[in-house]
Amino acid sequence: MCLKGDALAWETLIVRYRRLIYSVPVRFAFEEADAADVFQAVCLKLLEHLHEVKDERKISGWLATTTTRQCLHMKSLKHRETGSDDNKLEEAPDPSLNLEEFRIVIEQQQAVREAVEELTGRCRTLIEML
Amino acid sequence: MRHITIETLIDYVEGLSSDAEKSDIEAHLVSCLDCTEIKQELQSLVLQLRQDTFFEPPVGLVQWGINLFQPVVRRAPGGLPKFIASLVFDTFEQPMFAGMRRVGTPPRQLLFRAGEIDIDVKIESMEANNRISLVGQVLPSATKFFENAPVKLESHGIVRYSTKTNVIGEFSFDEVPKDTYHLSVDLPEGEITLFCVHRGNS
Repeated sequence: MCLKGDALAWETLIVRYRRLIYSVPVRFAFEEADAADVFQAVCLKLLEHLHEVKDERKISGWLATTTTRQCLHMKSLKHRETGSDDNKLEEAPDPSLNLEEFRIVIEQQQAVREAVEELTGRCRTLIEML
Repeated sequence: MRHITIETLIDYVEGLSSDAEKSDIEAHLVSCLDCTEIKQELQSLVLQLRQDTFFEPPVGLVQWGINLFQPVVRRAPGGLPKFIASLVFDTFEQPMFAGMRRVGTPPRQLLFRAGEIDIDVKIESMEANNRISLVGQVLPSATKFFENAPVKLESHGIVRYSTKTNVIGEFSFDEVPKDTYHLSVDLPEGEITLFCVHRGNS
């Protein structure tokens, strides 16, 4: 619908996936300004590549991968700026996970979010009280 | 063996069980893989739900994302079509050469393409006064340059600055405040929009 020029569909997309996108730089422990840069870059990429997304169910995976790559890219830029030598640049923020496992965690969390959103009023309130 | 109910497990995971219940549950969990698995899933779910509020981006940032989308205006009878240029090159995305160290913020060079037309944009950031200078050139595939074409710089849906291209299709905006802009160029073929020609510390 976004591709047909529906601004509301785009807004729904951003609102639905905002936490997924922002969660990645937060997990990478980026400062707020860097996390905002990542968020903006990913929104732009989503807009640019929207026509390539054939299956809406794949957006979550695409966003998780793209945002992680953007974070790794920013991390490497920061390291180059400071001149530090770090051979762990291509690693997920959680040392117990590899990048693929990290992506799965991000996607699972999005699935939980979407499931909570589908709940009706009282059930949702109860879950949100946790 | 009677399994533990989900409600009891939720209380346990949330730390609401009494000491007696807690020891009964723990004794059962030692020997029951099914209940242990459910307990782990519940723990993970509760953790995810609790964590999620930390991942809420600032409202202004979400609004920025929403505002990015500008519906394509349908061509009115006799009117001009609108094109969205795609980014084909960005120095911000390119790694620096091995061994190079950055001194200050280098200019950012971007190349956009819409059909047969390329638009080259260079953004120079002036940290001292928190402003940017933006210069560019509209490059047609044919030999004829686009002279006197209106160029607009928009932010938050408002045209902030406008200029016109010179004889070789060049344009410039000097020392405008740092912001996220959309640049558009009016050409005889239609209006070309470039998304986000500047971001914060680029």
